[in-house]
Amino acid sequence: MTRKELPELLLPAGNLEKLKTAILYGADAVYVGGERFGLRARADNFSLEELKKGADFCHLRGRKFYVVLNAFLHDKDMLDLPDFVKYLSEIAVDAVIVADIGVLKLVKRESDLKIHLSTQSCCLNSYAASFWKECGVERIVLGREVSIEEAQRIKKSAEVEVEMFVHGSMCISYSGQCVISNYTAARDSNRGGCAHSCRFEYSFGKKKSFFMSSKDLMGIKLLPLFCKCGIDSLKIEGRMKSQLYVATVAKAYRQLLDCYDLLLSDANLWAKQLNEMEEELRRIPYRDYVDGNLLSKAQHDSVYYQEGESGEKDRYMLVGHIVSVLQNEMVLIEVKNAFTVGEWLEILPFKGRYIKLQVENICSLKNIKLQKCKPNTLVKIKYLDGMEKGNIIRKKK
Amino acid sequence: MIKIVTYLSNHQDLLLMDSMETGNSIEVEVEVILSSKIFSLLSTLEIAELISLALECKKRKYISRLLLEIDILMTEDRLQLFKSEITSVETLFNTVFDAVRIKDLGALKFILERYPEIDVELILDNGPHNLQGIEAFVDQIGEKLKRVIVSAQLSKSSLIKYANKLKVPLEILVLGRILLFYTPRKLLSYVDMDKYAEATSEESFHKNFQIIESAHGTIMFYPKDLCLLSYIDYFYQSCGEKINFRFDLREGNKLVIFDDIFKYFKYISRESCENSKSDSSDLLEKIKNRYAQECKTLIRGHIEENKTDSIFKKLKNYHLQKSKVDCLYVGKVLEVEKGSYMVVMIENKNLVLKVGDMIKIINPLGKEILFNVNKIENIEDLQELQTTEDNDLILLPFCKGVSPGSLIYF
Ligand code: SF4
Repeated sequence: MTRKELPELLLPAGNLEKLKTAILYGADAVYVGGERFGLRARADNFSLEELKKGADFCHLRGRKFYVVLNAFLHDKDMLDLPDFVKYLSEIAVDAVIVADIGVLKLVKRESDLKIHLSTQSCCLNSYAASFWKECGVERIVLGREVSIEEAQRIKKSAEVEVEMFVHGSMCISYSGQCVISNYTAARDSNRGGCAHSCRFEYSFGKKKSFFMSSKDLMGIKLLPLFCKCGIDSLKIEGRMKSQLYVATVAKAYRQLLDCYDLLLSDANLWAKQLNEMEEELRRIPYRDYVDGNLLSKAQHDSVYYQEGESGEKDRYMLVGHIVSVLQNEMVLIEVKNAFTVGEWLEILPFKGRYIKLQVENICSLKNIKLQKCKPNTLVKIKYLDGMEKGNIIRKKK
Repeated sequence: MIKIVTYLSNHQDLLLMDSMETGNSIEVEVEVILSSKIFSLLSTLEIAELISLALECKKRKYISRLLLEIDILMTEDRLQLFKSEITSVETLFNTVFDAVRIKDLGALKFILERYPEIDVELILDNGPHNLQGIEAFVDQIGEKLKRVIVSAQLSKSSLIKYANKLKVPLEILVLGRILLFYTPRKLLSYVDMDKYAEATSEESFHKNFQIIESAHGTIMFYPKDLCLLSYIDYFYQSCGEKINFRFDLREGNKLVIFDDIFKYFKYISRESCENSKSDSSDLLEKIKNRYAQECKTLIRGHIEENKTDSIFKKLKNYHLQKSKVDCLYVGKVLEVEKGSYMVVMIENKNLVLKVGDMIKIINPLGKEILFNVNKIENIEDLQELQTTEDNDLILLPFCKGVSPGSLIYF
């Protein structure tokens, strides 16, 4: 299968930095939010200028750039939307992701933008998909309750592109059907205010349980099935998540998708690659992985009956990213988390295995030698073969 | 004519309703919603029981319309099953059931295609929350759509505006439980609980959630019920029959108050003109008190004003938002080395920063600092530069009060 024939790999980008990381690590497309109209009130989100930069960055590399407008808007929120939609059209956004039919109609009226239906609309079957297609939707992000095999039938029957979540956190509720925060915290979960009440521990008399906290989705081992069933796009959740998350997940799924043909020629090698990538995905924060409803209906083992995250001991943290390679001798790093001389770092190349590096020297921008660097600084360290601008650097926690 | 819509769960409910004086009004119509456990989150009726109850209801003159409710969501496999399940009641369409009310858009589309003669009502209990959205559904579905059941998130001003503009009436929940979420997962069975439970968390306002599990998954209700009784008169005066009023009295003995509700509507419709205003207020109090025996705390929800977005402004650092959309935005400060330099990322390809320029820096606390650019250095080789380009990383001399994340503009 050529890259064009494979499903699109769609990554989240909470800001411009993460967008670049997603694209450099292999995303075919990214989805981002503007400062309003999206579902992540607390994510960084993109200013108008950044949206243009993001679109240009993607288009220059032949990738797609989608903007989420997936909040359920109230009348007053709609007032400024026409101008924003016109702007998105001007900067040649490839599609907008919409949940609210009022927003959908407004986008159609004000622009020629392609429309993808957000998972928040909870489209779960072929008749609903046909309904939305008649409304002008070109792609449907199916609810996470739909299996891959059902998605294949929906696509065939409604003759519409289908996108499925393949990785990331999951709502315990049908998407768009939870209003806990609206009543407990006066925050509209369908306008980005979810307070994650489903993650709390609850007591039932004497019994206590995190009974409604969902585990995270991981569908990497099902990539062959996604490909076989002709799913158009594979979506990674997490606009609020870190740059390390974006790099790790993009890299893992890209690498596996790119060696899809191996599955036919050398299944053992493919399985080895799969193991390696699954291991990588366990190095970022997660709440136990499950395949959700992708094969069959999620059961008891899809609930995460504990607090916090899994796999603490194998966890890595972001050190920073390479801002520039200086004459193949040093690399300039924007530091997010401190490190010291003597520590082991791992550089994630865009392709292939990570590069291990024991820090011998740290230099400031003015070439002063340091024993330790601080977050939010730029420092230089030794260059090793394979390091490139944009590479993410991590270390064990 | 005022329309009241309510549920009947079984034959006992019907007998209770029979015993009330609900049949003597020319101004107030009672519509009844029925369902079966295969179509509904809360119904416990088998199909045969539904049919028998529906036939009985049909004999009652005081029931003006009989409605079949299908409020479950359906994945593709479930919808295929539904297509055969619905045949068990199809003969009742238009003979017994006057309309089908549906939440899942796919199921709705299927019903419209397969049974083009039956009227439908659309359950939009989670939105849209804008007129254009509701209008779009009304237009898209067409003339068989006879009513929309709207969200409890809408304020009274929105409801009145929508009711007066839409081609079909709205239905609002006046009294009943507030559904907080719905999942297909069987959350109570998973932890060996009964099918009904009350859950409390230590987080504030997360107490006594009522949780119910059925064949379709798990639903959760807010511990306080919605009560908009005192708004009925206002809505009726503002919109007449364009707003219909739903009472969800399915839990416990709540249905016993329906006779008082009916009486109250007669007052509202001015049918009982012999009664004074104070009589109707007394009656409202009586309804609330009787209802309070089942649910102590009642709330008005978002009816006065929906403020569920007001906190969003506080979640963001406004100082770091406003300047980024300004056309004079230059870039941002990545690092500050006290007494020595600042690292700046240039982020505007239409502007050139030059030695001698006066710039304004806004730090994350919102403080504005004017700064004269007297030196620019290239970050890689520390060579002095006269101008910059988009995406350049440069060094500027240190400026007091500036911290990483500060934004720069002309
Ligand atoms: S509280 Fe949980 S289920 Fe509800 S919207 Fe938030 S994440 Fe989803």
